[in-house]
Order: sequence, then structure tokens, then C-alpha cells
Amino acid sequence: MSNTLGTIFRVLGLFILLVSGWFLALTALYCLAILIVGSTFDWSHIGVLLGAVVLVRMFYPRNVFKW
Amino acid sequence: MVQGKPGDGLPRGEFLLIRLLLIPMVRTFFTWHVAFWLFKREARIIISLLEELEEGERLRQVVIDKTFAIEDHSRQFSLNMVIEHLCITGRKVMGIITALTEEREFNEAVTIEGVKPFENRSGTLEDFKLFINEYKIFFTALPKHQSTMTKPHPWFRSFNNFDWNAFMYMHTFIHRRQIESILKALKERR
Repeated sequence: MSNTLGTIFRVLGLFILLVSGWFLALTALYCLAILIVGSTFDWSHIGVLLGAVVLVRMFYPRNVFKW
Repeated sequence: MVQGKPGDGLPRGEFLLIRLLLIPMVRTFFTWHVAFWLFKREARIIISLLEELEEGERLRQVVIDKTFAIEDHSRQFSLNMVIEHLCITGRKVMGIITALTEEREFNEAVTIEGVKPFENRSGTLEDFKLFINEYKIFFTALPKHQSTMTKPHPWFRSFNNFDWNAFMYMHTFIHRRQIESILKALKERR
């Protein structure tokens, strides 16, 4: 494998790890919240939460596409 | 041996990939402390890779294949030249982050040519270790993680202090890959 391809795969791997980190952090917070509120666990809620967090981070504190 | 001129830039595809995909993803998923932790990890890897070698090998210039996000001119660097570049760039970025964190304008010009290594010289590994320690002390004292003030990177515009902090990691990682490529080329020529 060329050095360039190796670098690109490592960058992809890094982002998969980072998304997993965010996912785990949100899952932990969600579990804490349902324990406090006494609600039932639903994986789809975590998906929605992750989507919302990613969307918020894309525009706050700054627009990530801003040049 | 000369490959291109300093500041020639990246191939269009790589430039667009970084600008349109990589930078937005870094800004979305990185945090201030994750970027710093990853930077320290890269520094440790570089030091462990280079400490095993003799100074003569670190000074040997070889032409390597194209590596991701490295312009052609840097393909002929020795290992010591790469780490000298990391020290020059890092110290410049420290100045930029300081100014942006204080919401001050950084007036000094930032050019690719201006951060190239001056010469192929000995002793750069020790300087790199010193720089890493300086950066660790500097970074832990920084109070603000998102500045309004920005300083453009010569290739990628509108970087605030958070972006420059993430850049420090990505830049060190890209050059760690270059170092690995140089090490491979040196082994093949033994």
C-alpha cells in the first residue's frame, strides 16, 4: 500500500474513532437521563441525539464550512 | 534532486479533499483537548522513531514518493530537516495561537516558504524535544478555546485558535507519515 493511501485510511480510522467517542459519551448521558427520568431505553433516541449534536457542532460555536 | 519550489502547493484533488471534507470534519468532531492529546501522541511516536537512528542517518537526504498533503519540494528532506520544519512551524503557530486567544491580530506574514528548514543540520532532535516541552507548557496555560479573531493558513483560510490547535496535530501526523516514508527509503538504500 502506498504511503498516501495508508495516510488516508488512518485519517478515516481516526474519524471513526472520534464518532464512536461521541456516540459512547452520548449513550452514557442518555442512560443517565433515562435512569433519572424513569423512561425506557431506545437506540433510535441515541441516533437522533448524535445527529442533533453533529448538526449543532457544524454551526456552533462556528460554521465548520466557513472560509 | 530538487523537486518543485517551496510554496508550490498541493495537487488540486488533495487540496479539495482537505478543504471540503477533512477540515469541516476536524472542526466537527475534534475537541480542544483531543487535538492536544493526539498531538502529544504524534510527538512521542516521532521521537521514538528518530532516537533509534544515528545522526548520520538523520542527516541523509533521500527522495521519497509522493506522500499525502506534502508538497513536492519537501519530498527531498532529510529526517532532521522534517523535524526542523516541525519546530519552525510549531513556534510560529504558538505565536499565532497566543495572539488569537487574546483576540489580537497576528500581523506577521505566514508563508510556506518561511517555514521551510534553513539547512540540513545536526541537533534538531534535541531542539524538537525542547519545542514539545515548550508547547505542552504553553498549551496548558491557554484559557480560551474558540477565538473570534482568525489568521489565515497560506493554503486554508480563516483559522481561529481552535483550528490552529487542530492543525498542530494534523500537521505533525502528516509529517510523521513523511518520516515513515523517509525511513523506508533509507532502509531500502542500506
